[in-house]
Amino acid sequence: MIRYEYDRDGLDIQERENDQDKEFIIKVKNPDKYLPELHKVRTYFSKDTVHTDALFYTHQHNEYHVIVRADYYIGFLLGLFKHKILLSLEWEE
Amino acid sequence: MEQQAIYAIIIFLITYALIISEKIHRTIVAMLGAALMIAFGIVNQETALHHIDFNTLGLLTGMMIIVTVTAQTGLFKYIAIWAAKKAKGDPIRILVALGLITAFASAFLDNVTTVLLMVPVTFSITRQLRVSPMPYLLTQILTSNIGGTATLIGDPPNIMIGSAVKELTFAAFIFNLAPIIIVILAVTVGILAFWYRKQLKTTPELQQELMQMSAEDELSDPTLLKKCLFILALTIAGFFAHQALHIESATVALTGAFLLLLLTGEHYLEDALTRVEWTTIFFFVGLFVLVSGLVETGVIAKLAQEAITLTGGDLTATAMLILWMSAIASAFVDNIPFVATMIPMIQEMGKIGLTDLEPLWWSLALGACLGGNGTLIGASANVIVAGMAGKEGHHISFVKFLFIGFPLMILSIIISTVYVYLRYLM
Repeated sequence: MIRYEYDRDGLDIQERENDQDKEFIIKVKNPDKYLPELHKVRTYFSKDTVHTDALFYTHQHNEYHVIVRADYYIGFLLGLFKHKILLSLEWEE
Repeated sequence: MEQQAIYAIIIFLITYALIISEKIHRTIVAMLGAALMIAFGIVNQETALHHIDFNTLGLLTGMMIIVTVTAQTGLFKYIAIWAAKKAKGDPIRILVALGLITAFASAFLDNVTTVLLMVPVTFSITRQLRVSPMPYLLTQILTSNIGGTATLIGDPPNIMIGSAVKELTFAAFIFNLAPIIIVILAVTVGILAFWYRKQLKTTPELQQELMQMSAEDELSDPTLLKKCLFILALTIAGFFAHQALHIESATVALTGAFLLLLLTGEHYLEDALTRVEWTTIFFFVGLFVLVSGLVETGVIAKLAQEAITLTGGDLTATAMLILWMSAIASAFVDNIPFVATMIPMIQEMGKIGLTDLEPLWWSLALGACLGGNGTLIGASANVIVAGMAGKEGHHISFVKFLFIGFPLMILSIIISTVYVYLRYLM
């Protein structure tokens, strides 16, 4: 298991499992701070060679639905961490 | 037969066999085959250069540059998501919509670029709806080859035919091929939608989620998009008017490409030129020189004479022979070298008796382009989609594709046969 923390005033992140995928609903409450960074994560995953690693779907009001393939789960979290969308990442026993 | 002609045939056949075997990259094989034609003195360098159709090369290069820049705007993703929402998230309607978008785009862009842009967004939509992407990918392969048949710039065989025969303008291609392509497209997509109707099911909740997607967010650079759309419209208008303006289609495409680079700025130049498929361009160069060896030694004239003898000089029989032979051949071998060989042969037929070559050109275009749907190796777009799908864990086997592609290809050629006969031969 992996545990992560984020700025709850600026973001709301919900995670759920769906078959072999991990799904995230990311609601950006502080667009100025987090939207450009989230776009960088999105650009990274849409320009790499794997098309289905992390699929981003934009909804209304700065809400993003992300479907992440299970084998790219850690890579996706590291991407969020690299761009300071996540503040910490920790392995949990 | 002269010694030189025999050498030319041997070099051509060995090169062709190596291209089909796919053991060595086709561009390397074609260029080395071309070099052998010159080294053996079958054609000298100057004659070889005269046989290279720079209009075909310029047209391909120009369109590749325009598409490379346009692809960066997110336009394709926007259109696909917009269409999926218009289809209310219904998987079958989305199958039809994405198939039609692919066909339309393939008519004005090259097929490979179209599928390269459509496949990622297809994965995205099907994943969201939790349906298999396979029916969508197969539909897009088939519709890209069908759509590409409709215009002079849609598929390399048409570019080559249009370039070789000055009377066959951009408008002539649309006027003669688009009507039948619309029929073939409707029949093919209709059959595929019916075939997959039970397999493609999703839930109302997932449909609802898709409806919440924002297509506008996909347009990453609206300013660049406006420039690209302006240049695309200008270029297509140029294609319609190129004969009246007394300029070649390559001039139109290259002018459009470099006008776009002027508008976008220098920083797009390097990237755009890097992304031009130089392997394809050099493949064409090699083929033109290879075929020049057969033309200069009289082999093509001899083949044309044999074909005329076989059909008794009857226009209908010759047109049907070309249509079906092109379709079957293009299903199994690359249609570009096939068409490169057929063009001088048809021109030779004109010199030795057949007066009306128009039905033969349309038969060649329909057969060579639609034939690509027969097998997984029949066209570049097929191979590209299969490769992309395989990488994402969706294997498209040769047999699986053959089972769907070959009957639909035969059906499209039957429809084309009726059309060519009724419109040009009755």
